[in-house]
Amino acid sequence: MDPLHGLPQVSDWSMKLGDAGRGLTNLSIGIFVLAILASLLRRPREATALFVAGSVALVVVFGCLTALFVTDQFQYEYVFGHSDTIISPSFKVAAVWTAQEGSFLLWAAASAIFGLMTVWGTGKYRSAYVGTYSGILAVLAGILAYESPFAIMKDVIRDGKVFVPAFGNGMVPSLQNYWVVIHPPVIFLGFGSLAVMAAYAVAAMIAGDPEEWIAKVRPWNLASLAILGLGVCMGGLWAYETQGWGGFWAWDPVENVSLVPWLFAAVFAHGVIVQAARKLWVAGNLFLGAVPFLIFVYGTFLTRSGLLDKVSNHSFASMDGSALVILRTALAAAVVGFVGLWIWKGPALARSVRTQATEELALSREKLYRYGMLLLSMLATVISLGMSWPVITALRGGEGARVEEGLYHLVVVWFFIPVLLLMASAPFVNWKGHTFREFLVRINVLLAAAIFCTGLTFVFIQGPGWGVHVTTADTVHGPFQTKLPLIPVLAILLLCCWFTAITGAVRAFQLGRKMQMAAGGYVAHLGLAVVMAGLILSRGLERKQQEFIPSMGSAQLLDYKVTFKEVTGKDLYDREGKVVFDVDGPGNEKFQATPGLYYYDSNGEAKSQVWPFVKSYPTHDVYFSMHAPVTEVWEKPEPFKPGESRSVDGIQVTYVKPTKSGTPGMAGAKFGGEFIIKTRDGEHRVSPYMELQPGGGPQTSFTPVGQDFLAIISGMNAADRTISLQLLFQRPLYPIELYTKPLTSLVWLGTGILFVGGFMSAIARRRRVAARAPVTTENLNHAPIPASQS
Amino acid sequence: MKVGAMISGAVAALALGGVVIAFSNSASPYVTIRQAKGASGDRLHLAGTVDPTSVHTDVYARTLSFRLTDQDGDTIQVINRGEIPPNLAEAKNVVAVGGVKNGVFESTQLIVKCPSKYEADKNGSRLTEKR
Repeated sequence: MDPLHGLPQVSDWSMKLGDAGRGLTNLSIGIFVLAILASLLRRPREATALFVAGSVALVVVFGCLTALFVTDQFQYEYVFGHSDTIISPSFKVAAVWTAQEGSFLLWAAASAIFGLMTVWGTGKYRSAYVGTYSGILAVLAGILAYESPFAIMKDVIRDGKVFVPAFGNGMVPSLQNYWVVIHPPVIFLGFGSLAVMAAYAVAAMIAGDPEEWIAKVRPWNLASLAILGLGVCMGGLWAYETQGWGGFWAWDPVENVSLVPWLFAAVFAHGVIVQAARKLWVAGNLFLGAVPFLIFVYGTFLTRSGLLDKVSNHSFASMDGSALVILRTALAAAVVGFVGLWIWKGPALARSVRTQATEELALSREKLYRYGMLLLSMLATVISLGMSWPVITALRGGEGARVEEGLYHLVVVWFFIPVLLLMASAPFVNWKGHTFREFLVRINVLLAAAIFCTGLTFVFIQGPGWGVHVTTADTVHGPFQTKLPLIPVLAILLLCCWFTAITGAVRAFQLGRKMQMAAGGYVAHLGLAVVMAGLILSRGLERKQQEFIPSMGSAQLLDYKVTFKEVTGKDLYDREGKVVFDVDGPGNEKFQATPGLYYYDSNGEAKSQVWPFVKSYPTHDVYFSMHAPVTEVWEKPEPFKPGESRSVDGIQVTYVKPTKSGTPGMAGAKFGGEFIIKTRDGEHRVSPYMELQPGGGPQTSFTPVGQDFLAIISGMNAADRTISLQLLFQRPLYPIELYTKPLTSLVWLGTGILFVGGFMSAIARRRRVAARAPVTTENLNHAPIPASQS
Repeated sequence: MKVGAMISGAVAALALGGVVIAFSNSASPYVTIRQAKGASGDRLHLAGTVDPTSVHTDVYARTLSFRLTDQDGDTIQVINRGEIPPNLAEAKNVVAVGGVKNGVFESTQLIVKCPSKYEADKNGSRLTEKR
C-alpha cells in the first residue's frame, strides 16, 4: 500500500515558511558580506544597518523553524526526525534545538541577539566591531546553508505534490524532561555572548584604542560569565536529575567545551579589572578577549565534526561535508588572523598606554590577580588538552585514549586549591601592595573563621540524618597510584571553599553598603565557593548500594527500608507511569520514591525508559535510580533433551520425560515435559506444557516452580523431543541503586548566588557605562579596606 | 623580562609538562576486541554495538551481560559489574570499560551516547503508522 495514501497535502503557508527560513539564511550571508565591505570602506552607518538586517534575519529564521515544529510540519526532514504530534507544546519548541542543525541555528540566533544588543554602544569601535561580528555571523549562516533544517523529505513527494506525514519520529524519550526546554537556550545565549568579547578585542586593535573598549566590553563580559556559568551549572543539574548515576559532571568533551570558555572569560574579567585599575595587561586583554570565543569554536569543531564520536557521550556523529569545511576553514582563518593581528598590533598598542607602576612589595593585588589568571588559564588549557587527548593520541596511531574522570580530578585539584586561595586572598590586598605580614594581619581572623567552620561542618555532617558514614580508614586515589586519607583531603578542599566563601561574603557586605550592585563580583566568588563545596561533599561523601526489590517485596539499602507499593499509569506505555516505593529511613525520614518507568515502541520493539527520583533535604539528597524490572532468570531459553540433567546459573534442572494429553492437532491438545527443578527453596517436580488453541496456535502455560519462579516452554522439537525451557521470576525484580549525597543543596544554592552575583556585577558596569563615568582606580569595585581590618 | 615572570613561566611550563606526562601514562586507551584480548589492564575502552537480544540481567551475580560487536565485526561477551546507564535501552553504541578475562570482557563501567546525539531515522518508515 502506498504509504502516502490518505495523507493530507501540505499547506502553502508551511512551504512558504520553510522557503522563508531557507531564503533568509542564504540572504543573511550576502547581507553580512556587504556589512563587512561597508565596514572595510569605513561606512559605519551602512555597515550597522546591514548588520542589523542580517541579525534580524537570523532571528526570524529561528522563528520560522520554531513555527514549523509547533504546527507539526513533518514534511520537513528535521521536524520529522525530532518531533511528534503527541509531545507537549513546550517539548515541540525544545525539539528545535535537540539536534545538529537546530542547535547551530540557536547559536546563530543567540549570537545575533547579542550583536543587536551591543552594536549601538560600540562608539568609535563601531565600524570594526560590525565588520568582525558580521564575519562571525556570516560563517554561522554559511554552515546553516548546508546544515539546513528546512530540507523536505524525499519520501513525501509524489508527482510534484508534497504530503504531510501523520507522525514524526518524536523526541528521544530520555530528553523529554523540563531541562531540555530551559538549559539549551541559556547555554547557547552564553555561547552567543562570547562573540561580543571577540569582536570588541578585534575592533580595539583595528581602531587602535586599547583603553576605552575595556569599559564597554566589561558589562558584556560579566553578563557572559553569569549566563554561561548558569548554563554550565544547569547542565550539571540536568545530568544529576536524569542520568541516574548521581553525579553532576563527567568531564565529557562537550561539557568541557562549555567550561573552558567560561574559565577564559573569567581570566579576561580579571584582566579587565587590572587594566582598568592599573593600566596593565593591555596586550594580554586584547588577546584574552577573543580566546573564549576561539576556544569555543575549536570545541565546536571537535564535538560536532565526528572526531570525538566514539569518545564523547554528547558529541555528534558527523556533520554535512560542506558545512564542516566552512567550520574548519573559519576556525583556521580566525585563529591565524587573530593571532597575526595581535602580534602586529597588540604589544605596540600596549606600549602606547602609560601604566601605573606598582611597588615591588611582597604582595599586591595586581600580583595576585596575575597568578590567579595564570592558574585559571593553565586550568583551562589542561582541560582543553584533556578533551583533545583522544584526537592527539589517535594522530600518533592506534585508537586513541581517553582522559577519565579520576585522572581529571587528580590533575585539576592542583590548580583548584591555589585558585580558591587566591580568590580568597586577593580582595584583601591593596593595589599598592604590602608585606606578607601585613596581609596575614588582615586575613587572620577570616582564616580562623574558615578553619572553625570547616571543623564545625565535619562535626555536623557526622550527625544522624545527614547520611554520612566516613571513617579514618576511608581513602581516595592520589597521584602516582597512591591512596590518600579521605578526611584530611576533604578537610583541605572544604577549608579552601569556606575561606573563599567567607572572604567573598565579607567583601560583598563591605562594598554593598556603598555600592550594592558593584558587590556582585564578590557575591559571585561566594556562589562559586558554595557550588564547589556542594560538589565536593556531595560526591566525596556519597554512599550507594544496589539491590533487587521484588514486586510487593522490600529490601534494606544503606539506612533505608524500601518497600514496593504499586505501579501507576494507564498502561505500560503511559509516559507518566511511576513505580511507587515506600521509603523508611533513619529518624523520621519517611517518603515515597516515585521513579518513572514506561515503555515505548522502537521499530516494533518495546524499550524501557526510566527516570531517577531525588528526594532533597537541606542536609542531604536521597538519590533513587531504578532500571526496568527483570523478569527472566536465564539469559535465553535453555534446550533440554529427555533424561538430561544440568545446572544453569546455579539451578539444577532434570528433564524427566515428555508429556502429552488430548488429540494431536486438535484444540486442547497439550505437549510438554516433566522436570525436576532444584532451587534455593527446595526440589520441585513440575510439568509445563503448550496447549493448542482453537485458532491453531499454541499457548504456553506459566507453571509455578516453588515460591519464586515460573517455568515456561518457549519451543519444542518434535523430532528429538527437545524442550526449550525458560524460568521467569514470579514477581518482577526492580534493580535499585540508592545513593545518599550530603549537602547537594549547596550546588543549587551556589548556582543561584553565582548567577545573581554575576548579573549584579554586569548591571553595575552597564550603569556606569551608561552614565559615562570615567574609569579610574577610585571608582572601580575595590572600595578601601576598612581600617578595622588593617 | 623580569625574573619573577621568568620563574612563573618556567613553573607553568613544568606544570603543563607534568600534565602531559600524566595524561600520556594514565589516559585509558580505546581498543578493538582483537587488541583487548592481547592487552593487559582493567581500564581498556571497548566501543561497539550491542546485540539487543542478548541483554540479560543476572540478579544473583548482579551483572548485566550482552554481546558486543566492534568496528572490525568481531564479537565478544561483555559482563558488566558496574552501574547500568538508565538510557541503555536507547543506546545503539556503548563503550565498555574494563578488561578481558577468560575470553569475556569484564567491564566496571558502561558509557552510552547522550540521547540527543543519536541520528534520526530518516527512512520515513513511520509515515502512516498508528500507535
